[in-house]
Amino acid sequence: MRKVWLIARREYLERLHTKAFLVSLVGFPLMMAAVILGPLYLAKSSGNEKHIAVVASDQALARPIAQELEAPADKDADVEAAGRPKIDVTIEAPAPGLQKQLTREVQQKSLDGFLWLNHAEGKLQASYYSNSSNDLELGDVLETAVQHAQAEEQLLARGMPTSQVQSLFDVQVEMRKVEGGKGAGGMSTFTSSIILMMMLYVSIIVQGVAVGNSVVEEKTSRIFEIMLATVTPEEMMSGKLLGVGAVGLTQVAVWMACGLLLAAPGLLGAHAGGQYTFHLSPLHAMAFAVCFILGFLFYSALSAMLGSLVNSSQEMQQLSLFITLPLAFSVVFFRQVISDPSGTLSVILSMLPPCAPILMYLRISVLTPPLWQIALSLIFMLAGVWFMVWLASRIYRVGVLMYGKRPTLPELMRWLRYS
Amino acid sequence: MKMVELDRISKSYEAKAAVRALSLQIEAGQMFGLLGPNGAGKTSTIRMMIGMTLPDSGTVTLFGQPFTRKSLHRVGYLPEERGLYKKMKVLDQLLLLGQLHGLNTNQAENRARQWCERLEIAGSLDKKAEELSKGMQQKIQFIAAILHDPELLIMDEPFSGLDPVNTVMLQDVLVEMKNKGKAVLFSTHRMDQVEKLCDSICLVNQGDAVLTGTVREIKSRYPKNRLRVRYEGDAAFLSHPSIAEASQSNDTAEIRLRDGADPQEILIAALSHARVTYFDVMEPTLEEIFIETVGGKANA
Repeated sequence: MRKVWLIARREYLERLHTKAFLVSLVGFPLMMAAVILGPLYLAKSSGNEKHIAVVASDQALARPIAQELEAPADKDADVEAAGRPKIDVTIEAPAPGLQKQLTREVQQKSLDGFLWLNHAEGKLQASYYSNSSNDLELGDVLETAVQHAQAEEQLLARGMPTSQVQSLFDVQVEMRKVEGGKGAGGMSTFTSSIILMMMLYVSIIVQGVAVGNSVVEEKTSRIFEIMLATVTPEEMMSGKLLGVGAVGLTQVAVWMACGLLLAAPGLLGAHAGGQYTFHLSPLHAMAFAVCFILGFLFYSALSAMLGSLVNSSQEMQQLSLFITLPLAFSVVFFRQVISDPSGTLSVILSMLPPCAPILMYLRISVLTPPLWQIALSLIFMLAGVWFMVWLASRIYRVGVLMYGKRPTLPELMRWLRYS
Repeated sequence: MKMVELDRISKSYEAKAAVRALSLQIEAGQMFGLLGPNGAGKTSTIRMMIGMTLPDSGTVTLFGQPFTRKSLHRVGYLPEERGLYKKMKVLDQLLLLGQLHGLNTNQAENRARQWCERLEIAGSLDKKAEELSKGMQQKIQFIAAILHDPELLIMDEPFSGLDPVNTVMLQDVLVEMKNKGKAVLFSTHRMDQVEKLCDSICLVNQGDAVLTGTVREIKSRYPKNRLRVRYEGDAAFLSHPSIAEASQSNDTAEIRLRDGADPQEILIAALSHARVTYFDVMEPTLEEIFIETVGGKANA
């Protein structure tokens, strides 16, 4: 045990001092912050830049539209409000040549776009002209505003009091998650789930590949020959997994701390109106740690095994596909799992040892799955880790002393039986 | 006391036998040479000796006991293919290897400093391994193998690539170790080093031990059938019927005798024709024995 500890300590300290580690330690949270805060900040700073015209013969329709666009009725800083720029509206009455004139203004960029409303056969038709036809977010906003305004106009015309009409549109569906009575905002759960899943994915890949590369380095530099005079290959491998795993945990812990700091009310809260708060209950933190440890052990044992088979880092690069592909495969399914966490596909994927660390974690974080499923997934993950570590240590102890040609599959099968 | 006892150990990889029923013994206070051409099975033998691989059959006994990994604290090993952690400071590597061999941090550091002082590389203790020349790295690896003061030293090509000054420096250390009663096994191709340093040898070829014994005893098995004669005058004696082969340069002749011939006859013949200034009945060198044994086997 002392030898395993000495090797683990060496791995840990050496890695902690590398530039790559420091860069990723600081870089990843910075990147995440940039991805989240950047658009918000841009949206804020370009606040008054959207200038659009509403053209309608019916002023009673145009005015409420303009009002809603300029100041949305749902002032509770919801998704739309946070993400969308302020809009400045001019109301115009249709006149001959106006459309041409407005089109020119849009082309010259003195106007961002114009909304053309006209009644045809008793039906309201609305078209929005702008330089980009796929401004989806604005499309939604315009649609809502037009619908609201039309309904409002009709209801007022049928004699409903103004206050009542307004309260009709003042309903919002708040997304809440059922979990221990604590109501966490739906949107923020969603965001933190994805961020944490990406964190899990990135750290398993980075640390997993690191294990393989360091095995290759030890093999090519022939330090193995010296080490094996006193330690067994199994001790080398366990020490390496422990050391590099501890580096991964350190990294993740620092990232989490950054996340919590970022979500502190003063910072992100102020920018996003509380939308992107970073929720992390102790239970989730524990699930994250367990999934990281199991996922890391599974993939880094695989990586150590691959590293022991090759003779150069170039060869290792080719083989690292075996690590990155199954992980990327898991991440590809994240939309599926988020939108239908209890669906058959989600349940099955979260049981498969190569995908389970990522997808089970995602399921736990979006919708607490039944306990038996968590337990079953955990059992499969543990079995997967046990198998992979067993397989890797059998191959590794032969592989590290073999140079030259990469072994074929039948040769590998024979290695398994060596004493 | 017997430090190492290998009893008919064998090892095969795939279908190829790397070592076949090899037996050898190394005593305390002995310098033992493990010789053989490339791929003869030297490294495979050493690996079984220190438990890196297990023999398919046969037994390994270290320090009078069946092999256990605990014995490895008493063994120092310098592999032929060797390296260091490139990015790690030399002192840290020595500390790590010392600790892995059971030393505590203080012991390891004190000894590392002393040895580096003695081998004149104290200045590189705080450098990273990648900043050192190959020869310096080799000295560090040498120190790593002896740091824990092992009773059995296993040195696989310890001097390869070293300049003569450093070679002598390391040789002196090994001789000193031997004189302190430690056993030194070393493996090399350089027969002149073996001749100078080793008491006993084992010559391995294609997995078999083809020659084992003390250097003295092995040499005595081979006839002294080579002469070197320096003379002035008539060279006619070189056509004596006992001479199988002779080559001449200036005033010196190298002569190989027929089997069973007496060197005295040649001396008498030479004296009767010429003036002899030098006459030597040469022992076979280990190199000749090596080539004869290995070459003969290879052709067989």
